[in-house]
Amino acid sequence: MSAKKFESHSTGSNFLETSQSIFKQINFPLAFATVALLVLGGVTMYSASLTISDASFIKQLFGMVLGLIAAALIMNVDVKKASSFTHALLIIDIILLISPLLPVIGVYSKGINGWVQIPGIGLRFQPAELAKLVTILLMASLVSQYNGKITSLKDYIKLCAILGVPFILILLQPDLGTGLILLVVGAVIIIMGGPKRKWVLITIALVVGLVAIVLITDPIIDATLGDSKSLLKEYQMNRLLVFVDPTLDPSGSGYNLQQSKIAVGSGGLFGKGIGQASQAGGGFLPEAHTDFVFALFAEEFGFVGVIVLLALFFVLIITTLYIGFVSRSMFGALTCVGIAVMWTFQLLQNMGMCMGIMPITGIPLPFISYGSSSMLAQLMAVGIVGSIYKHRS
Amino acid sequence: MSSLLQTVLVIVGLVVALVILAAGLIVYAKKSQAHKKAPGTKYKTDPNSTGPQINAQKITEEEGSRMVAMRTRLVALGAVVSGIISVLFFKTWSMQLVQSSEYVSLAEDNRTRVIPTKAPRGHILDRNGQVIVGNRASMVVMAQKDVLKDELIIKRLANVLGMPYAAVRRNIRDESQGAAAPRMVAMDVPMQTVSYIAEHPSQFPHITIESRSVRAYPHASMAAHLLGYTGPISQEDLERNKQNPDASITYQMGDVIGKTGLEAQYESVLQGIPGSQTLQVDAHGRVTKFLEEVAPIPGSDIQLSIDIDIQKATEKYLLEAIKIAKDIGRNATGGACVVLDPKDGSVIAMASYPTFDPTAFIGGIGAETWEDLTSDESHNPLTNRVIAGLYPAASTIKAFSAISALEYGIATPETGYNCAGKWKGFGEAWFKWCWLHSGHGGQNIRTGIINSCDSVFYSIAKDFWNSNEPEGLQHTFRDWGLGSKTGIDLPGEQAGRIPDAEWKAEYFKNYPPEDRQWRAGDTTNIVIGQGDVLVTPLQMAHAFCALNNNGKLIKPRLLSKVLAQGDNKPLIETSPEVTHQATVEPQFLELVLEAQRGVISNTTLSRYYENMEHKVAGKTGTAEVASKGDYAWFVGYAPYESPDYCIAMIVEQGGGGGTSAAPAVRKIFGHIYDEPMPEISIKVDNTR
Repeated sequence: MSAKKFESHSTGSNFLETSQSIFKQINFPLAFATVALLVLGGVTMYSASLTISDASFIKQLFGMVLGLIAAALIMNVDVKKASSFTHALLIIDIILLISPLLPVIGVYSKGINGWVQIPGIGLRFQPAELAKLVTILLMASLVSQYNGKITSLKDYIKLCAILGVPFILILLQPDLGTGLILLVVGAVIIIMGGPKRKWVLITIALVVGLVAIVLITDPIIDATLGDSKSLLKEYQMNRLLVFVDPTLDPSGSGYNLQQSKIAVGSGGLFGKGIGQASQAGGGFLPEAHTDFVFALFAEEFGFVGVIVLLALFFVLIITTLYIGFVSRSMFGALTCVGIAVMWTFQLLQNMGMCMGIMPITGIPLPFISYGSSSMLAQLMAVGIVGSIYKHRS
Repeated sequence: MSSLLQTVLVIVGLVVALVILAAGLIVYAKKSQAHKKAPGTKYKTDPNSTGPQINAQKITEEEGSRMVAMRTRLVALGAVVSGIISVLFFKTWSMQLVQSSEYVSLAEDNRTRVIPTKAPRGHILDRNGQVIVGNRASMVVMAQKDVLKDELIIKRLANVLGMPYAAVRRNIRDESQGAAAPRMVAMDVPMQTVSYIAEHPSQFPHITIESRSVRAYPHASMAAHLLGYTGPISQEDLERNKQNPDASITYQMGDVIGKTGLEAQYESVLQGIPGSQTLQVDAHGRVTKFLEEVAPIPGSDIQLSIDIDIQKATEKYLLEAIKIAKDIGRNATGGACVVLDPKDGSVIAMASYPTFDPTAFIGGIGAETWEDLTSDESHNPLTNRVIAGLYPAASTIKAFSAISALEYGIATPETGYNCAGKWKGFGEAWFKWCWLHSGHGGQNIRTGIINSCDSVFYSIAKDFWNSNEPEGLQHTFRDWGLGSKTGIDLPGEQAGRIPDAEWKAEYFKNYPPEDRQWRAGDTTNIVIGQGDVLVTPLQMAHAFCALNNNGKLIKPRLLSKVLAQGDNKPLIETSPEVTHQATVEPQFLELVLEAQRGVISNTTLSRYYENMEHKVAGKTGTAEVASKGDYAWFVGYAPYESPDYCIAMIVEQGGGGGTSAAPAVRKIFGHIYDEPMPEISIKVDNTR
């Protein structure tokens, strides 16, 4: 695998050899799945833009182009170099997550302080999307130092504590959905780093216990100090309750879930066709271009479309894990793990929420949901994976 | 979606997933082998180093094994990812293929709104095709109950509608159409008001205007009783309709249905099939598209045997008879008159007084009007006295008593009787008066009918009482349809009563035995149509028709045709239905008919009737009703030789039959044959 490759790399001058070198630099399944998902996302957003005034097809295209450029740039840089800038990554992460909370540039919308807008410029950006990538790089960088085996409990606790920093910062916004992604992604990276199984189990038990305490005490805090002081806001609590019983409040959170399920189910085998989705087009399905984009997709393209979507994600994620597999670098492998877990979790969360098997949280479906920040971050993630592939040896 | 296709798809999906997994495992296996074959493979190990480190230090055995361990974890993670994607795959499969139809219908419910369009009711026509009941459009102002919360809107409404504030408020509070249903504030609102309200929607929130098809009565309250009225369906009707599996129409709240009379009788024919407009709406209920329209199918028209012209005359002269009775000091409260065609049983006219205005019921009747119509002082204007008014038959029954006596051999045409005014057939202590206290002298059955001589019939009753057939009279009465429903196509017909011993024992079962026993006096009562005999005017006319049909009882009917929509081709055409054949010898029938001709020609009635070309026969009656004035009866038919018309009239508390009823019937015949009665002063006539 090695000798011939380096030869061709250094002396590649004729066409055949150049194309061979491109094959070796670009991972085709990764590129194909990404482009195909962008096409699906583009078509979905085009149809959404026909009926939903908030969804601008042009803006989405802009996000795609920007993301593709970013991905191409990143691919040509060896991201593995980032592993030596652990402290810088942590600082960038903190800055990104605090920025929406700052006055002047921070923007409050849809219940969270999640956006940044430079005064005078119309562009709005959600730093948490980038922070996900930075957190992945940060955690991969930290964990890879232990080279696949974490033997000291102190080190393990240190890792968990550092993961806690972005998690707590994002809860201040409070963006519970992105917080969950960070937690899951970071936790998987730590677990993949080889801590003792006992510690992991104890940690999970502690987290479950903590969540239980939060859920139990939330009504008490609400009653005594008011909803604004409690960790879980009322709408978040409602979403959880409705997840357990969707008939609880059909016109509130339960209504959204019910309409989303109707959209998915009524899509049938072949879907209703582009622009023919009555649930999304008639306004019955809320947030059809963002949080509930999968319901819109499933309504328009049906089961056949969903099979294609799932197959593409499967190819994308498995390829990413494969690239981690062949990367010969602990940092590269862990970064791929982080990105693969991020995509898997977002896919599970977004699709699962639309079908009522996951609670409702505003997590976008990568490459499909409306939003330039998300699009940029997801394509940058592809760029990172591509870079790891390109610089695998 | 066929289940075969579903299965194929699932299998294909699984195969694809397995192939991808297998391919991944094969690649992994090859890589592992490659590593084993080349233990000198280099790994990047220094996390802090910068740039590619292709020729960095050799990896130790332990570090190499760590990377292998990492790769094992990666494969495990790949398996977890595959598992998650499989879960999503199967969840989507179950929602989009297995439960899809359920969600499709829910999505349709969301997307579409179906607005029912009401079908116009069928018209009611007379025998000549003239419209008796039609339809007209009426603009109706409707209000949601939320309006009650805003006094200002009610005030504005009252203002533009020109109604009192309290009335508007009362109408909006009316929950008779369901608590959540819109309430009708006013109907027949002028176009000017309609456009004002329509142009100022912000001033009139929750107020809507509908155009409704409502019943139109070109002849006002004419024939109100037989036509009946329509009204919004009641909660009970709705329940009944739901529970009736045979119901051809499924009603909705707010539907207008026939409540009484022919409107109720032929509801299933008159009520059309509502159409619908299907609209596409968005989540805010805004209409985004017109999807389809199903046109309503109007109800079928029905043609009656009623003749508007004769109906009007009948009503006019009935009312006149009541007036005349009042003029001579009688406390006449009401009356009824029916005109039948003896040849086929069709009803040509039917009048009942007091009457009502069916327009009062359109859109639901107000409480005040309803009270007016049901109070004691109003004398039951809603009751159709022709079919539901129960009266003693009085002397009109004598023809049947005579037939009974002749048929049972109680008397022969030659049997002689003597009337001394006071009849003492059951002994001095039990004497009874003939209506003519001075007595009729020598009589037979024929003259007994002509003179309506009570003594003749008392003697017949006595002979029945003493015979083997003490209830022969009752058998004959019933044989001619008295005391039972005629079966006319109208709801609410009453049977009346022909009393007998069994009835009396049952009816007075809480009384001492001596009061429950059938007595000779009971028989002498029923022989002259008194006592507990109760008949309807329709029954009397029905029986008199049978006299002219050799004893054939033909069911009276109002409906002659149901007309198909668009053309006048009848869907249904009714035909005469003989329900019963009364037992009678032709010569007895002839005797009775001839005697009833004599009633007209040989008595004081001749002064009204004998100026007519068309010869009339008939019988008067004067019913004695406890604590009330005498009820005047007359049943007549013409032309005598082969009657085309049989008319029965009763005037409640109208005095003797010859005084009010007989001259009024003469005027109806006069109208029919265009032989008006000359100006003859009505004399008080005590003939029974």
